[in-house]
Amino acid sequence: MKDRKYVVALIALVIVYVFLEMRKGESLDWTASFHNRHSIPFGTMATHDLMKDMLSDSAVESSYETVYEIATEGEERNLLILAERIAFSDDELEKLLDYVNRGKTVIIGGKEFLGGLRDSLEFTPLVTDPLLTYDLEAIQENLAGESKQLITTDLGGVAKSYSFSSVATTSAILSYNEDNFNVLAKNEAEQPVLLEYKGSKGRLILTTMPLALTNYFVLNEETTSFASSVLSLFPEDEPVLHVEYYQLGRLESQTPLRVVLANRSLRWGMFILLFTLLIFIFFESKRRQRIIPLIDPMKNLSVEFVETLGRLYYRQKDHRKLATKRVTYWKDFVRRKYNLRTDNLSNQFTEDLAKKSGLDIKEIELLLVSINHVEAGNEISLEELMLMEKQLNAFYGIE
Amino acid sequence: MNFYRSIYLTNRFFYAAGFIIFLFVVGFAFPFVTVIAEGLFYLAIACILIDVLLLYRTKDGIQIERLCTEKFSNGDDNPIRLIIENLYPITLDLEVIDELPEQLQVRDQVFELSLTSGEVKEIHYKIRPTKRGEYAFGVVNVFISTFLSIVRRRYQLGDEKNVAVYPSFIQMRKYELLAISNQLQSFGVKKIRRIGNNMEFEQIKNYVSGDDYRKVNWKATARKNQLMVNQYQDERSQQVYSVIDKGRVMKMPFESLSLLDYAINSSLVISNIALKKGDKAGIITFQHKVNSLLPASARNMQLNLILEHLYKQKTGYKETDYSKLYITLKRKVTQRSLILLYTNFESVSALKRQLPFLRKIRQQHLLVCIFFQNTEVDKLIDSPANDIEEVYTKGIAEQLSFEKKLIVKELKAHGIHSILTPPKELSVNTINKYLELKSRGLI
Repeated sequence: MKDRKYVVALIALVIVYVFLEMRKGESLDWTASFHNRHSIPFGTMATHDLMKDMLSDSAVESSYETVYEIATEGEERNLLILAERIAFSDDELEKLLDYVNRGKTVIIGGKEFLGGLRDSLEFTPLVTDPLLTYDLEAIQENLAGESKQLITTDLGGVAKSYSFSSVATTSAILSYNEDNFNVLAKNEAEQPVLLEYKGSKGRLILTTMPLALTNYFVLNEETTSFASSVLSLFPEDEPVLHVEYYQLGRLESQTPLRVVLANRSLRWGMFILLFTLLIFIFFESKRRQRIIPLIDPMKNLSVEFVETLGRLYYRQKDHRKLATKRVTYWKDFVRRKYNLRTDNLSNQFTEDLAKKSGLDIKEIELLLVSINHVEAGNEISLEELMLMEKQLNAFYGIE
Repeated sequence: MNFYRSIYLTNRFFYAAGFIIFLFVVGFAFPFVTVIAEGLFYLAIACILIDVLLLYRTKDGIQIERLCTEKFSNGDDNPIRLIIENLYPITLDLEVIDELPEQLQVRDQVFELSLTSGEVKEIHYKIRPTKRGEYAFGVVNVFISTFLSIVRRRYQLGDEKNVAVYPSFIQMRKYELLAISNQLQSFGVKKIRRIGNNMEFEQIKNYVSGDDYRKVNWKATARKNQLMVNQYQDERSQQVYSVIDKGRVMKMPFESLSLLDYAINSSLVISNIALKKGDKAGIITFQHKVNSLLPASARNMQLNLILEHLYKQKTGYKETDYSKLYITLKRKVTQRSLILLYTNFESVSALKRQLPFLRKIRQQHLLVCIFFQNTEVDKLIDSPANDIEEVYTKGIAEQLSFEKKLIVKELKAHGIHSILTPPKELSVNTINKYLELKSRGLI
C-alpha cells in the first residue's frame, strides 16, 4: 500500500484547512438586506420583533411583491417599505398615493429616492457619502469610530436627539416644498431626515435613514428609541406589511423549474426522473466483467505495401512497363495452367489455348492483339491498359 | 457494499420509470391520471422489493463450473464447457459472461439461457487463440433475474484459471493418424510412386491398386490365389530438422496467426510424423543468431521435448543471419539430414542475398526451403480493378506473385527443394514433401 501515505497526507491537509478556517471565526456580513429573517447588523429581524411588541401582537408579515400588486390585490394593511434605493414606476406611484389616500399609513425608508416620487412630492434628496455604505471595512471603522451625527426628532411636540454613527445618516433631504411636508426629524445640518407628506387622507412618511430601522441601530441603546418612535407612527392594533420587494426582489426560487415544481403531478414526475437518472448513473456504470486491456492485433500490411508500390509506378505513368509485367504474369499463367509454350504466340497457339481453356476464340484473339501490341514495344495508352484489364479479367474468369 | 456490488438493474426498470414519469406528466393535464400514476409508482416499488427478496433470500443459489483442458492448441478451436446449476426454488433467466483471457480481445460474449428450479445446463463455446503463451481466465459472471425481471443479481463464480496455449497439438494428432494410416489423399497428400528398391524387406501383403506391380511376389500370389506384393521398409533413423526462421519476415499474420506460429505448428506436426516413421526429429530456431537447437533424436520423450521447446519460443523478429545458421549446422549437425527451412522470401533479390548460404547448407544436407504465398495479395489479383490506379496495384500484385514462382525456379536451379504454400495449407504440403522425399530415398 504505497498509496496510503498519500491518503494520509490528504486527510491531514483537509484537517489543517478545517482547523484554520474554524480559527478564523465567522466574519460579519455588513450588507444591508433589510430582510426580516436576517440577524446580520443591517437585517430587520429585531425590527420585526420590536414591531410585534409595539403593535400588540398583531402580526407583521413580509411581502415580496410590488406596491402595484399589493394595492391591486386588495391589501388593507399599513406598509413599511425599506430599501437602499427607492424608485417607483409611474404606475406604482399612482397606486401608492391612491393607497395612502384610502387612509392607510405607509412608511418609506430609502437612502436614495429616484424617479417619480421626487417629482410628484416635490423634494430633492441628497447622498453625502455614497461610498461609505458600500465599503464594508469603512462601515466597520465608522461604526467603531467617533464620527457621529446628532438627529433631532420633533414628534408630538417633544424634541429628542439621538447620536447616530454617520453610516446611518449619509443621506438627507436637500430641499423640499414646504407646503407638502411636515418635518419630523433633522440632522445637524438642519436637513430633514424624516418627513410626513401632508397632501393625503392617510399618512405617507419618508425617511432617508432606512438603516436606523435595522438590527444594529434598533438594538443599540442610544438609537433604539428613534426606531420605535418612527415605527410608532403606525396606528396601533393595525397589522403592518413589510414590503421587501424593493431591496430583495421576488425572493422566490429563481429556478426555471418553478413552474414544474408548483404542480404536484409534475413535481412527482420530476423527482422520479432525477432519482432514476441518479440510479442510472450508479447502476449502469458498474462493470459487468473485468477490464480487458487493448492489445493491438498484428496487422498484415502486405496489401498496403502493394498499393503504395502501385501508386509509385502510377506516378511514373509508365504504362508500357506495367503492361509488360502483366503480360509476363499472363504467360506464366498459361504455361502453368495449360502447359502451352508461350515463346511464339501464333495462330496455332491461339487455337490450342481456346481448346484448352474453353474460352471463345474471338476473345482470345482480341486479347492476343493487345498482348502483341505490348510485345512489339509500342507506347501503351491509358485506355489500352484498361481494355487489357477487361480482357484479362475475362480470360482469368474474374467477375 | 457487497449488496451494491451484486445488484444490477434491467432495462425493464428504466422503461417502467419512464412510463410512470410519462403518466405524471400527462397527469398535469388530466388530474385523474395522477392517481393512476401514483398507484403504479407504489406498485413498482413493491415489485422491486419483491424481486430483491426473491433474488437474495437464497444464498449461493447458482453453481457454475468451467471445464477445459490444461493446454490449448494454438490456431485451433478449443472447446470450453460451462456447467450451470440453478438451486433457487424458481425459474430464472440467466446471462452468463465468462471472463475470457485478454489476448482474445473478446468483449461481447454473452450467453442467455433460462433454468427451471434445480435444472443443470451446459454452455459450449470455442475459443481460437492465435498466440502461444499463458492465457488467464477470470471468473464467470452470472446475472440472474426472476420473472419480474426488474432487478438482477450478479454472481461471480468459477475459478480463475491459467491455461497454456501450446503449438497446435490438435493438428499434430489429426495429421499423425492420417499419415500413419496412409489416408492423406483426402487432404491432398498424394501417394508417391516408389522409385528404386534400396529398401529392407518388411512383409508380403495384398495388392491394392496403386502398388508398384513390379513388386508382385508371384510365388505368394500362386499360393494365396490373390495378387500379393512385397512391401519394403522405408529407411529409418534419418534426421529431420525443422529449422525455423524467427526473423522479421515471419511476423506477418494471416487470419491473425503469424507465419512464425504457422511454422511452429507445422514443425510440431512434421516432427511427430517423422518420429512415428522411425526418424529422428530436431528443432533449430534462429534469427540474428541461432537461438536454440534441439538435437534430433528418436527417444520416447522427444515429442514432449519438442512441444515444450516450441512453446517456449520467444519472438524478437530481428533481421535473420543465415551465416550463423550455416556455422551451427556445420558444427552441430554432422549427419546428413533433411533440413526443412521455414522462412519467407518476398522477392528474388531477397533470396539472392541468402543463396550462397543456402547452397553451402545444401552441399551437406537435403535442404527444403519452405516459404509462403501471400494470400492477401492473391485476393487483390483475383478481384477486378475499377480505375487506372487499381490496375497498377493489380499489376504490382501479379508481379509479386510471379516473383514467388521465380524464387521456386531459382532454388530448383541450385538443387534446393522448395515448398511454396498458402499459410493455411502449410502442414499438409510439408507432410507431402517429407513423404515424397522419404519414398524417393533422397535423404
